[in-house]
Amino acid sequence: MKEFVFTERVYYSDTNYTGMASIGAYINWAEHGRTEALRSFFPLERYIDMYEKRKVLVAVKKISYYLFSPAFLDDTVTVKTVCRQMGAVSAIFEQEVKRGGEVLVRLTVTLCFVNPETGVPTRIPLDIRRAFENDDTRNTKTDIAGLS
Amino acid sequence: MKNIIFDKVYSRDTDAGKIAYHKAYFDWAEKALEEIFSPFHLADNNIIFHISSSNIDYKIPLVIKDEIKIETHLVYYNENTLSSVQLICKKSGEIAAEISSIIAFLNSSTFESVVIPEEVKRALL
Repeated sequence: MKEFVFTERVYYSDTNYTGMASIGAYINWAEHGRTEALRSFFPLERYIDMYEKRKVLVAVKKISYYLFSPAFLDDTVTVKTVCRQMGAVSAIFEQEVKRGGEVLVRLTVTLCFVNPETGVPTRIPLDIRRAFENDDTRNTKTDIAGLS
Repeated sequence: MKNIIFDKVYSRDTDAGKIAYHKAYFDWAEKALEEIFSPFHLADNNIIFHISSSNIDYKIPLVIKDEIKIETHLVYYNENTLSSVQLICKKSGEIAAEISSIIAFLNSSTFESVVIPEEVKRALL
């Protein structure tokens, strides 16, 4: 499965009074990593249109989060995202937030595709499935602004 | 130890998908823990708690203006950590999310792990 790497910086908004990143920051960075991974497949589409066009909504079903070491204000961290498993209606992503070579947080995120009108689970659109299932192992790197 | 706090889904908790954003649940869980530890004045003693691992299972979505109850069950796990199970429920009693976590304590200057503060331990045992 493809591995995506996205770079973030720890800002004041990510930290608490000790200078340490709060748990919410890792959850946000992980979402940015997954979003940018998907965007890289469909660079000409607006993110919101990707779902509206395919009549799906992606809901987070489960998150497992393990913190090894905290990130601090001003750190540059990278978010590594790999789609580990694609089911009929759900997908499992494994993600790591790293500072240099040090793994700070490891997350396993289960997403469920649902019909936005009924809220009922629906099949993952074929083009999204194919994009993530592609066995090309190239690294896709994106900078902080998500522009490269 | 069991603790209950009440909150509401505000617009800042939601996203363009028109439901509460998945990070909001972590914020509510953290807030509930902070309320439990608040009487122990951890910050005055250079101690901070942090959630070192967590599993969250989202069951039903929450939407703006939903009134919620955050029920926290906290138990002693070992010398350095506590274990919590938190239920985020709708006013109707339906469970919107269940969160199991391990909570550790750090020195807020050195960020090294410290044992559970004695007052916290006494309150739990």
